[in-house]
Amino acid sequence: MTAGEASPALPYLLDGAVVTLWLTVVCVLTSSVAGVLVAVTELYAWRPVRLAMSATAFGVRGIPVLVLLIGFYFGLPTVGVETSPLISAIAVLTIYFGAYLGDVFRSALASVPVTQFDASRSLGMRRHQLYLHVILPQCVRIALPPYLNQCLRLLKNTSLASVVGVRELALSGDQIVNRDFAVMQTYLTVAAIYFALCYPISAAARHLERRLARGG
Amino acid sequence: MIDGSVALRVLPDLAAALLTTGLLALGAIVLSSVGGTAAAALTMSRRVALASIGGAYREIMRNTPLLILMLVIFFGLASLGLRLSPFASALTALTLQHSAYTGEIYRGAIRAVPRQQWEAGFALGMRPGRVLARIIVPQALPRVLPLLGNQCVAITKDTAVASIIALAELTQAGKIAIEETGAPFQVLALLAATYLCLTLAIMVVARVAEARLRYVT
Repeated sequence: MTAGEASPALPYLLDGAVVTLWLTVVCVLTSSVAGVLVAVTELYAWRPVRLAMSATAFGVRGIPVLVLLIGFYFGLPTVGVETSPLISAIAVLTIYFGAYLGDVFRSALASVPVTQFDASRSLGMRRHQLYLHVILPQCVRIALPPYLNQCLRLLKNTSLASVVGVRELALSGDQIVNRDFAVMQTYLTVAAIYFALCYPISAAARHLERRLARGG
Repeated sequence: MIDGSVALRVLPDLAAALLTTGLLALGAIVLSSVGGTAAAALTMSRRVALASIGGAYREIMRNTPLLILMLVIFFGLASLGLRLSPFASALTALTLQHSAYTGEIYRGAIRAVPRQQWEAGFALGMRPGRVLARIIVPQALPRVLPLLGNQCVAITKDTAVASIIALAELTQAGKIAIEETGAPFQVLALLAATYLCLTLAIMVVARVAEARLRYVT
């Protein structure tokens, strides 16, 4: 579907918003898995592997997503790997936010006091019981606000997928602008839709942050 | 894989673009640390009207992608007759968005200082501004510095978004170099390495500043 003459602007933008939302959900899932992988590797793997993972994650966090995206999309075909815009966007956002979420998960795990491990063991808990009933619940409480903040960043960064031609909200906006020339009005509408998508996440993150700060 | 001749050919262009990226990042860092003060002052204001303006500003900036903000400022304002250069647009967008984040950092750090510190200052007959400058800020500073370091890194990385409004900064120069040389990986390896050096340099400076501060206080 392209921005044809007849189609009104708002439904077209909302179509784009659905793609944005869908892209966000997929990338949150994939980068959460990647993040767990990064965190577990950084905490428990064989030392050389651990160091390699830390260095890679650090490197990924040190360069702009846009550079990764352009590199992935334009670079891979030159070595004979065909990618689509959508696959590139998902892969790059997964790698990028996997590195950030790895950091979130790792520091959450590290912030559980060692005494919790000792106490559980002294109660005769097995390893899986210890993690499932004692460590993980505490991790989730600590990790949830920063996790949501990363999800918020991810949602906003999906707008960069427009650069390689994924027809999500930002690109839909560009197309409408090119068709109708109602520049300000269209971009402000796009901004308002992004706001509506983002606000629930940021409000939830702040709410949980406050609750955690109160220790409740 | 790295072809020396490709690197040599694109290096002068990338070096010029690095200067633009550096200027943009530095400008946005300086302006947003000032803007952050205003944002924090607004959100912490006792006047309901000012506090809600500050809150609305923070929420809008926090919940809108930088890309859209840049498009609004560059193309949107131009369509209304206010034509800003790509550099000015990018600088404005980065400053507006990151002032909100920096403001939150300031606010959090000021809030973290126990309120008795304020009361003690008042009891000594100090005015609010003086309490803030002499008692609160020095205690908030150690908490602020590491977060400001992260913020500087985030701003520097966000300058890449300015390539979308065709500002000739690093990422845009990289895109052009890819088209000219047809060697995306070489160019991108250079690009990634340059960004990494920039962010590493900022982290080192931030660490040194933290250490100095700890030594002074």
